[in-house]
Amino acid sequence: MLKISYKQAFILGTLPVVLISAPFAISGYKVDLLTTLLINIILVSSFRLITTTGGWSLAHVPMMGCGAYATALLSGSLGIPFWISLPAAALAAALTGLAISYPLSRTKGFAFFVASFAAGEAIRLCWIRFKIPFGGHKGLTIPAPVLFENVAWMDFEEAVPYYFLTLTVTLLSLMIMYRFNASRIGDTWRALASEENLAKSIGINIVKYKMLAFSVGSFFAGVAGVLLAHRLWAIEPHQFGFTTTLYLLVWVVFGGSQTFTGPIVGVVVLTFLAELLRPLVEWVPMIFGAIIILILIYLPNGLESLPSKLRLNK
Amino acid sequence: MEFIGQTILNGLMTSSFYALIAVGLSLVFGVMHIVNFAHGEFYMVGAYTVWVLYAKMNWPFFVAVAAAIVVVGLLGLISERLIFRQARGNILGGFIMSVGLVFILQVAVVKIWGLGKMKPVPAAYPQVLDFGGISTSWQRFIVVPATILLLVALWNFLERFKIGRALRAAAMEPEAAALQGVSVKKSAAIAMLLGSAMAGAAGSLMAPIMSVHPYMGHYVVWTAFVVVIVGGPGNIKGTIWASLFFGFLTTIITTLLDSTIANLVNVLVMLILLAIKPQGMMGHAEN
Amino acid sequence: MKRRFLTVFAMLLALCLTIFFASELVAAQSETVKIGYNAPLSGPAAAWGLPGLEGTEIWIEEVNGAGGIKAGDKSYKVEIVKFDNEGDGSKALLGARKLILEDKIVAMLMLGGAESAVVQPFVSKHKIITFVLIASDISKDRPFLMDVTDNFPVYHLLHIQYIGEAYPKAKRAAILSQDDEIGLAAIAWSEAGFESAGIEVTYSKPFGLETTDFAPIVTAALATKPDILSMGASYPEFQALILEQAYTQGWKGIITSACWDFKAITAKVPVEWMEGAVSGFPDFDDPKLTKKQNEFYAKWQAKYPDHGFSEIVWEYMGGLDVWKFGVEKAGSVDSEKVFQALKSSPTVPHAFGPGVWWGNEVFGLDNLLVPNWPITEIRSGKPAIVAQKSLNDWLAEAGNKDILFKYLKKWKMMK
Repeated sequence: MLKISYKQAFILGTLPVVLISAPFAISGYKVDLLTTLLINIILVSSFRLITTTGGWSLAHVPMMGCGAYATALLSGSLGIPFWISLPAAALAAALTGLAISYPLSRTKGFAFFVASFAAGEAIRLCWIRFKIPFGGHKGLTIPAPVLFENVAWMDFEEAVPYYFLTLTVTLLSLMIMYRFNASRIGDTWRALASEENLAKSIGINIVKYKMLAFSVGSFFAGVAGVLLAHRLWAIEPHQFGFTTTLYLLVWVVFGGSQTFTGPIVGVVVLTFLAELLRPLVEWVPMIFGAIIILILIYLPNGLESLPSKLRLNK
Repeated sequence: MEFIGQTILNGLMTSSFYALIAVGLSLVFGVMHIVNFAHGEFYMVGAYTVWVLYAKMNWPFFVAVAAAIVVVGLLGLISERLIFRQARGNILGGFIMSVGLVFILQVAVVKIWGLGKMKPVPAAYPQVLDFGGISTSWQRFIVVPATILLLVALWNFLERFKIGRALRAAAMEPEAAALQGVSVKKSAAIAMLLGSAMAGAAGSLMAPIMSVHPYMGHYVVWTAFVVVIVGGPGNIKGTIWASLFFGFLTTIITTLLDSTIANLVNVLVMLILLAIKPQGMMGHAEN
Repeated sequence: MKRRFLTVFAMLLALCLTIFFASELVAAQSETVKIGYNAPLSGPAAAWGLPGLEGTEIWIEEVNGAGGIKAGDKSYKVEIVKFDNEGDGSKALLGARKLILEDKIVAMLMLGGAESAVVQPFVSKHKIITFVLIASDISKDRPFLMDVTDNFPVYHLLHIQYIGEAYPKAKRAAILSQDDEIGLAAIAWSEAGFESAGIEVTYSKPFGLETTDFAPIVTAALATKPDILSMGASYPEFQALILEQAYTQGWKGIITSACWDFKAITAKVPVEWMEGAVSGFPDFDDPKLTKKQNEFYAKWQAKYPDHGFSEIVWEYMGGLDVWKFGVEKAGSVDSEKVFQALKSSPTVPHAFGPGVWWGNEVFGLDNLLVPNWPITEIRSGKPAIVAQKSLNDWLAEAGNKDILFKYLKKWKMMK
């Protein structure tokens, strides 16, 4: 795989062109769909980071909510500029993740799954119950980012400039997550999933590594939440509810979680599919449901395992 | 005094409802190691069956309930055969398959019966039942004896009959059960049939006193999960105790504070118990 | 292995993008004028959006059948573009962006409530007139949002004024409404109404939206021994369950609510028990309404024989009526011009008679159209108009304004 083939070169060449030219060819509404897609790409990639340690967290969407609420409080209520509140809010999500990862690290497998739901739901109920400062069901409002006033192509209230802002942050986040994945820490995380006892016996501090993975994953979920909040200009607890979590699971299962690109493929394909099926919008959840059951039965490792399956069948 | 009495009665009725919905989930969880998230949608289908048969076609209420139990039991059996059987052993895979089933059932119900306002299911027994100042309706009170009856029937089945004992063995010690020649497939199918039938019973009995709409399952399924996890998957007695505990806890907190705090306390109790005793809580469901 | 996979992926992506862009080219211009319908059409809140389509469909048939709408010397056919926002704020914003940027709508019909906070910054920027059903959504930073139909939560004052006059023995009231923007507004305005009528509010704790079992809440409320039970702005799903509990726990008294889903309620409690319940929404076959409204009811009933009537059926359509009035006055369909024409008209026809603009004192803008509001009581299982009340008369009574401001400040709806 060291040599780059024609096809790969073709993809590596065209992808940037598509990503840069796309927003100028479509309407503002569709640019926003692409922006949302980029945000979801950060979300699934950061989710996969946690799954590499062996646990599927149902608190990931509430972690994204932590980033969104943190930036709403920082930039909306305190007036701190976006450029500072982005890392600060992501850090807040990471710290929340760190705090809940302690009780969660004591559980594993399905117990982890259920416990993470409880933790996420507890956070969400706090947003609903404690109107000060979280605003209850009404939620909070967030201003659009400002870098230079009165520069038209940097007016982040508009769809296209915000798309490029999101694109930049997404690429940066993916690069950092990719480095984590390929590093020794990434190897250790994967070892926890497959050989927990072995990892323990050679002296790896399992709890510490699990908590690290959870915090790093929460950090990037927080980044996604910040980007979402500054595009929507308002957030409410309902957006970070269990329905969103179900879609996250569907994207990841559809794409597969073994490789770094799997979940990204999942969310990209399903997002375009949902948009193409817009005339049938009422049927979309059913179609997704059927797809996901069929994938689990016939392609249990997701879309990413399709090429090797095709190869085996030859 | 009346206030306390009314609260105890409210708590008792809530507990019965929790037991009814959670026992089926627990059975499926314990025997099949399938976490059926669509249990809430099975409950919803039970409620819709009563709406169609009793409210629209004027069948007698208890005949409609019996029909709902059969319909949802069969729905469970079919989903076991077509879907869950493929996931054996993979808890996470099974869970996500059941999420797929949730989407399918919700859209199916919306497409068949439409959206819009909730379906009005009239009370079959609207008469007020008065215990000297403390009162409820017969319709609501019926849930208590019906739950006891169904649980006793289930318990007898599991204790007395060979296949029932095999089911319990499968929940307690799958390896031993397999060694004794109990068919895993058969016990899974029966567990799913019984578990889903219980969801159907819950949905049909609650239909006249709850909002009947396509998303009603979503609101109860996590409560049922909390009860099952705390009671111990596959542990019928534990589930009943947990139902009583959470039924009264929710009622008391909702009366004195509010329902959001009640939900918050419920999930925190589960989180703390899981963190303190992770393996103990999950019983044999976690291999 | 990876290479083949990437190829498949790239081909899929290319296919998707082609269709994506192609759909852009198809969207051509036409001589019709489009109005957005951005409301919950599926999901738990669908009851607040779906029935409205029935009314707007009948309206469109009528208006287009009569040659369309006249603006100056031009005639336009009107088209409704639906967007299902599932009652979710972020979806509603996505919908507003699609409707405004892609469909080029000139006005938008919405439910309002929590969605407004998310949608309005964008809508204001594009100066698109928005008709909502929640008056308390009106605010200084939402200049193009107006409420021309439903006077919620203002009419709570009038319902309660009527109760105070008609049932002078009732002295204690419990309010049961949910803990969201709409529910809290109902509580605040109801509390003001009760104080003005000399009725003590014994219970007004909002309940959580996640509540499925109302037994404990009703027990707590009834323990305060109320003569009046106000449902505030409880959603239809909640109302039926609350009233069933109140009935089975042996309570009897005066019931009031912003609106009813009467079919759902009488499925749970006897019709006689609901007799006399006070609200402000007649069915359109009420003989005290206009002939045109009675005819609409007949037409609607013929078209949707199994459906229950509720104010949602006509309220979105009421927005269209007012918009049409504005277009004809402005001689243009331009959103800003229509808005100006409406605001400069001293009275505007509302479904319940001539309306005047009000709201500055409490919302910061006069964007609420206030007619004399009918009061209904349930008579043999059907709402019947028993009185008409005027908001301006209520406000003119000594001390009432101070009471209102006090409660709006208490619930943080006014500074």
